[in-house]
Amino acid sequence: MECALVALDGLFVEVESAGIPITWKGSPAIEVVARDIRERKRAEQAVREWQLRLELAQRVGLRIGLWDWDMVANTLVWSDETYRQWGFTRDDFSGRVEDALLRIHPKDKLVVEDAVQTARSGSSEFSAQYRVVRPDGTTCWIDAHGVIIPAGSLRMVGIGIDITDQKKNEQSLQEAKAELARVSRIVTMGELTASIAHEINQPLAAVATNASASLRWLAVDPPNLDEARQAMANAMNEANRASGVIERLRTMLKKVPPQLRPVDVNEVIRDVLALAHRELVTGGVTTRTELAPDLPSVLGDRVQLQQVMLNLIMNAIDAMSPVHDRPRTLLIKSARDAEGVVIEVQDSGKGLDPEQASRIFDSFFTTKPEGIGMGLSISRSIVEAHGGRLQGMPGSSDGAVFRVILPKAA
Amino acid sequence: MTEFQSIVFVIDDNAGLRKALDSLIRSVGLQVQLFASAQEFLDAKRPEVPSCLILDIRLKGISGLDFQRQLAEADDRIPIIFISGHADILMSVRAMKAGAVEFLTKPFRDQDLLDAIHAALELDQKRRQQDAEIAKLRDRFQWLTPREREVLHWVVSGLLNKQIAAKIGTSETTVKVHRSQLMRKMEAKSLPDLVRMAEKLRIPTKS
Repeated sequence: MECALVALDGLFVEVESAGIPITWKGSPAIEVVARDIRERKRAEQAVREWQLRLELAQRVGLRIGLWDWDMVANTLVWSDETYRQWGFTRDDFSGRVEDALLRIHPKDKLVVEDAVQTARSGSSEFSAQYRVVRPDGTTCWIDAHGVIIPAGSLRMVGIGIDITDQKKNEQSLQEAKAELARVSRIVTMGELTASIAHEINQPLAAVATNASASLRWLAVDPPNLDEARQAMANAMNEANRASGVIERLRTMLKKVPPQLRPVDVNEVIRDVLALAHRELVTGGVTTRTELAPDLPSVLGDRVQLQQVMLNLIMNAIDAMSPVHDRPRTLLIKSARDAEGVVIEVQDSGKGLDPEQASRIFDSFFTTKPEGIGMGLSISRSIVEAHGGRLQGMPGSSDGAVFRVILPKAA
Repeated sequence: MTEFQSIVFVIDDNAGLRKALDSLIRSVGLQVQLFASAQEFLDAKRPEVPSCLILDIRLKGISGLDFQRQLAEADDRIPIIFISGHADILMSVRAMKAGAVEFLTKPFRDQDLLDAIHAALELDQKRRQQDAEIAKLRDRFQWLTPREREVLHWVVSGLLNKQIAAKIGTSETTVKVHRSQLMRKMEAKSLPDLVRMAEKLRIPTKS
């Protein structure tokens, strides 16, 4: 039985007690053993309080589930909310981890496995956001956090928060943003194309008209050589004007000169990976980096180099989106080289066939249904303005490799 | 057609293209006059000869389409050939609906432009002939007496002399005299000839 005793210091002490009948000094008595259970009581009270807080959170709409994973037996104990999140009932869930894992969205399996690995290695707590696909086809986004308890056997306890609504909002916001960016790019492109067409058509029309005038002056009897000569001279002037327009455009597109400063290539790569994080996660891409330490700085325009890297990474994500039979992996390497620094962006996507490889750097060439074919063309201009080279080639087994070679700062 | 008298006006703010058009049009024996703006063209005195206008759709200060409307409002019916920096279907439809002869996109084929110029000049010459003829008929009509004008209305409305006499309250003989007088003054060779003239003068027929 549990009861309270008054201790010698006058405080109440909660005890767990048991007694056996004995004979003490000739009369029947009970020997009582009492154990101080104040610590356990406090823990139980704490759990009750936590339970109350959770219920409160639940009531205001936060859906927090609890889970307890016996990592030796590989079994799970769940709270009601966790059952709801995973679309199981207490009757149809075996409690086995493998059965639960089957419901994790294929694109998120690696994310969860990585997080478990990290937690096991002891470098940090378990933390992952992943989708669970329920048997009825609905998806639940879960933000899960857990800690390993080094008590007796290996256990991890944690919570899972249902963040489906939040994700939906984020996603539609993201989609709207992406659409806006795409549309504004296309509109800018369209306007640019129209003004290029106008700028070039003017002198081109004059060239053609002068040339045909010249032919007509030669065709009259007798030929009017002075007029023919004058028309040809005019044609030449106009042709020069047209090439001047193109030259100006090229200069404008290249935005020469770039703002040259010593740039840490690894930093550029990390910045851009952070920028593209969401797209990489959404695209189910696992990213690996092999960045050489102590790389020499390159002289360059940081923002432009970021643009190049971002373009290569976004291309890689797009190239891997149709891939379902192998992992989607993005490997970014940096290394020192005789000239300076080499960056390689390697994907496991659909790859490049030789015909495409020869044209991917052409303006307006694209393999994407929504593409406008400017990304790689601009990227190459930027890299060349830095005195470097940008190459694309098929990967060793699958996918494609893009290599940026940048000269080191003198 | 007296082409040596014809003249082609060009309004384009691009000097290079103006020069080129000048040479091309002169090479086929036509006269050219160049203008850098619509205002220059309006300020110039134009000779009364068959002419047409080559008009860039994008001008400084005013769009070619607006200028076309402005000319129409001033009853200036010079045929217009539009040239445009890019193919804009909407613009070309508007231009053609407003009576343009042709809408060419730069760079255009020289023959297309010359064909359009010839068509425009022919159109302008015909219009000028018609205008001249109507002016001549108006002049003749001036010389008719009020009585003769009244008889003319009834004649072209298809009434017989006897019916006209009854309408205007005179004898058939008097009507015959008026009729032969007005035929002579209008220089009409026959009744159908007179009817055609009345149509051109827009004399209403009475019933």
